[in-house]
Amino acid sequence: MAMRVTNRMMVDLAVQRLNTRIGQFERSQRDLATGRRIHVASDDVAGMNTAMGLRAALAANSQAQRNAHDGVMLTEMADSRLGTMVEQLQRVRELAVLGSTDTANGAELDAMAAEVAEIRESLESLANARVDGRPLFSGFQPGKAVEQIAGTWTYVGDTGSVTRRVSEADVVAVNVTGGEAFGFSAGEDVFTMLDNLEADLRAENRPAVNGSIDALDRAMDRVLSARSTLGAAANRIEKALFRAQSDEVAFRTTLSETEDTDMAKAIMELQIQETAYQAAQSALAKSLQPSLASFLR
Amino acid sequence: MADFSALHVALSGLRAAQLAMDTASHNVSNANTPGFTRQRVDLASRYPRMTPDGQLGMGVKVTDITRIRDAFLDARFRSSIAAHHSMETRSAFLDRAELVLAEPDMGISSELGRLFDAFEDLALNPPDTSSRISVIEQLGALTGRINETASGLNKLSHDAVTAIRATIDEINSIATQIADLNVAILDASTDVGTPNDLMDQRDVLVDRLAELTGATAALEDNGSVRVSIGGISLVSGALARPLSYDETTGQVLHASGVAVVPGGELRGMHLAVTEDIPALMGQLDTFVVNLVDQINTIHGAGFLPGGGAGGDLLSYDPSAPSLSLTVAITDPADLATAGSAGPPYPTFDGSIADQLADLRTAPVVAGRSLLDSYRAFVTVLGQEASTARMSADTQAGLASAAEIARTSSHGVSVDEEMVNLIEFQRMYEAAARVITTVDQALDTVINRMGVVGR
Repeated sequence: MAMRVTNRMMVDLAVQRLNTRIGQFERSQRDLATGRRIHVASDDVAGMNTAMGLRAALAANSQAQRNAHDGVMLTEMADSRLGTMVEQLQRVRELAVLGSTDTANGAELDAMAAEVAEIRESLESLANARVDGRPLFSGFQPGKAVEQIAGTWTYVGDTGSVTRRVSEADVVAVNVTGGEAFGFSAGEDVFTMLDNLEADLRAENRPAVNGSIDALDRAMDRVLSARSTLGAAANRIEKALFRAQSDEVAFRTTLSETEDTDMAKAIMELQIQETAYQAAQSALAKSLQPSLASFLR
Repeated sequence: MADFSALHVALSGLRAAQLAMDTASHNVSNANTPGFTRQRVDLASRYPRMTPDGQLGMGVKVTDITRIRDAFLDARFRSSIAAHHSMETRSAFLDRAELVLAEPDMGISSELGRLFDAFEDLALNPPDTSSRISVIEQLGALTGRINETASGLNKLSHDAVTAIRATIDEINSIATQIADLNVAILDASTDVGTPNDLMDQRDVLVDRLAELTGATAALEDNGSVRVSIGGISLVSGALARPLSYDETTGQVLHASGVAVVPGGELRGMHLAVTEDIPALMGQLDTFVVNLVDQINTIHGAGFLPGGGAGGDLLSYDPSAPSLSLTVAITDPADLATAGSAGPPYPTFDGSIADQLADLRTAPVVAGRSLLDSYRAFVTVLGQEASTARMSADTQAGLASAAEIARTSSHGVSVDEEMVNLIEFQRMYEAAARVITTVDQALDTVINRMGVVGR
């Protein structure tokens, strides 16, 4: 037997269908208006899981990039200071070569000695350079790197290795300590060396001046090797930064694919929902109209 | 035609047709009354009269005016509406719990991510006071968010308890009304009929009880209805036994002291209070304990500028970790960043801050990072909410189908009533014609006979 359809049933069913339609219509509108497909986890559990993971990865990625930029800045600052030092040490070497020959007279040697003293002062200020309050060559110590204590040049920093996390697994040391770069750990620091050279020049002790040239070469080598350490670190950081930047693009793309509304699809969906909603309305209007009572007389 | 019984026969037809039209009119008037059951006039032919020529029919009689109601369809509807409302209510609580977590944008996970950012910034420049302050502020933001989430869950639980109390009040009131109606129906029932409209009222109340508690109803021989929840009687005849809620045990108790396992909406609320919300709170607490443990352990291994070891960064009351979680330090100088004490103190050693930042990805909770363990918590809730919603939708479909089947049987179709109306109008007209015909025959007998030759 066919189902008996009552008037109330028709109204109830029609209202129920209208509600379903308008619910779907609203859902499509929300997706479009917010541009997001997932609003709470239960909308798409797997998608939400992926999205939360990607958001965390993006946050770590952006921090790694900031760390990398900071690391690059520190290595570049230290490198440029050391570069200036090398130039000045080369000048000292030239002076030592000149001073070791008989062509230079006493007055000229005194002038050379004065220049060496000035360069020593300049080197001291370079060694104690700070960037944004952070000393470049003192390890973990907040104060100066080198200081003359009771007439003796002393490295007052420590051996601390300042590191930057530039990716999840990659931690790069971004400093060189004054102890290494300026020869304190090798027992012949560049400042004492220059003090001695200055004294030898003033004393016109040409053999001693000549003898200091080898030591000056070693001092320069130490600074150069510090520069190459920094260069290698900068290189590693740049590579990590490049990786992080391309990762970021990939993360963002996947995140967008996961949780963003597919606009073309959503607009079409909205159109379909609107049509369906209007159809349901017009069906309701038509089906509630007729009654046998209209045709009886 | 000896005693003109045809007049009485026709009169019985007139009366029956009139009653049938009255009933059709009653049905049409109530076409939109909730819970109304269409009524039908039951007709039977009257007892015949013996005549020498045979047994002569004596017309029609109305035996009863009955409701077209199917107890089986009622039972099916009530069980499906109970299942639907149980799921719907549970789903609503889980949806609200999801809103409390506010993932993925405003929730704990993004605050946790920002805390790790703050630790990394601190590692970049350990003595920098502004980095230190931002770590403490971010610790505050994270603990604040966790406290809010926990109190949001508590509020949800509290709301559910309030709803349970209100629902139980409604259940008790309905049970009393059903008991009263049982009495009224019993009083109004006579040999010649049942109080159909009172019975409709009672059925509406039983439907509502089924929706609220999953109650089932059984009709007894005397016409009263017995309502029970999980086999425990709530209404029997004139007696309604109230339910009560024991907040300490979380049990719904029957007047006899027995714990009732409810269905319907009450079950959804009950599940939220006794299982869903405590489970969520438990998972949140576990996360908080792990978080505090990891952060304090690492920080405790660090050293302060004075050479002292780092103290606790976070603290909580073990009886309610997520609700009571607070930042244990306020002074930026109390952040231990260095991995050794010195002297000299390594001011720019940020290794402890770096280890704290490394918690972002370090697998410290059963092979997963803190963030991942929290993420699992969010997705498990999402899965539950999604399953509950789907199952509520399925149940809604079943309930709707059961409702349609029931309405199809007992609802009023106006068209059908129109047809009935015409049918009985014709019957009335025909009966009236019979009376006219008999009248004419009588006229013949009385006025025209015996006038021959007058």
